[in-house]
Amino acid sequence: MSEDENTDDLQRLAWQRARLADRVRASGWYLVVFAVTLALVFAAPFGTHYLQWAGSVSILMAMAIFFLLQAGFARASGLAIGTRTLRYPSGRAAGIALIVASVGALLAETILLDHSEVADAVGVAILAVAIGVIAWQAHLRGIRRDLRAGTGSQ
Amino acid sequence: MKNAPPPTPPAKLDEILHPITRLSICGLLAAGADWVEFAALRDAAEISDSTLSKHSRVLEDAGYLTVRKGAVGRRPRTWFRLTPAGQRALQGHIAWLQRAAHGLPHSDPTGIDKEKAPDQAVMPDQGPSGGSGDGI
Repeated sequence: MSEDENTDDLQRLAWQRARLADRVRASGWYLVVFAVTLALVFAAPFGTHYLQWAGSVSILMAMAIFFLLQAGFARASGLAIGTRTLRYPSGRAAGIALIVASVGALLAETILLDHSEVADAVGVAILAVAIGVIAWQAHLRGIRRDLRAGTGSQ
Repeated sequence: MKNAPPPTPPAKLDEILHPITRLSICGLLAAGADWVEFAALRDAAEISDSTLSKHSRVLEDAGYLTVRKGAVGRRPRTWFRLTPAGQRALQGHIAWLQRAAHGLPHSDPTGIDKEKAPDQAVMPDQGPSGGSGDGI
């Protein structure tokens, strides 16, 4: 086998990986369902504030929807990227940003609701959902980069 | 404390992975996804259903990949995942290809994985460098 053939094999593999990675794209339905999932998470402080049990129910529903969403995404894309998605190095920063923003938003909402600033708490929740969706898209872009480079799943 | 990264397998030619179709299948499975569905793998590698079935069976028999079968409604779905043994073999083979592409000498002059070569030889319809014509 010649050096050129070996180089061709490696180049072909890189090209095929790029095509596989392109399947990791968030379609409209995926982003809408993800936004609903986040809305349920950020509705939890309201649930806890007005009806104690509703906060937990909201979080449990969000978790169930997230797992179903990832299963649906695997079915649609043909790639199961798993739910422990922080193991993709390029997507890690966006994933961590999402977690930090979520914790910050949940704390801010709780404090605002304790001070009866309901409108501000709703504003924080809406902003957090928007930031979360953008961060998740960046996270998926990172996963795509890792799949293209063959460095994912560490 | 950080875990030490696993040692890189030595660069060596793996007869099972050498046909380009099998190299493609394993290379795509090693990209990072947990499981890759049959159609996604077939489309990315640009091979036919029968070619993918044939080669995936060889790789499964060699212990390089795991196959999971399921169904969505009445439609059967097959998922593939690379095993740790397949991952190691692929890393060694890719390293061998990279050395060969740069014209570097191999520690073993033949570079062939002699443990596997005699009994897990390439498929009868392919030579050591065969398979490049089937679908890619």
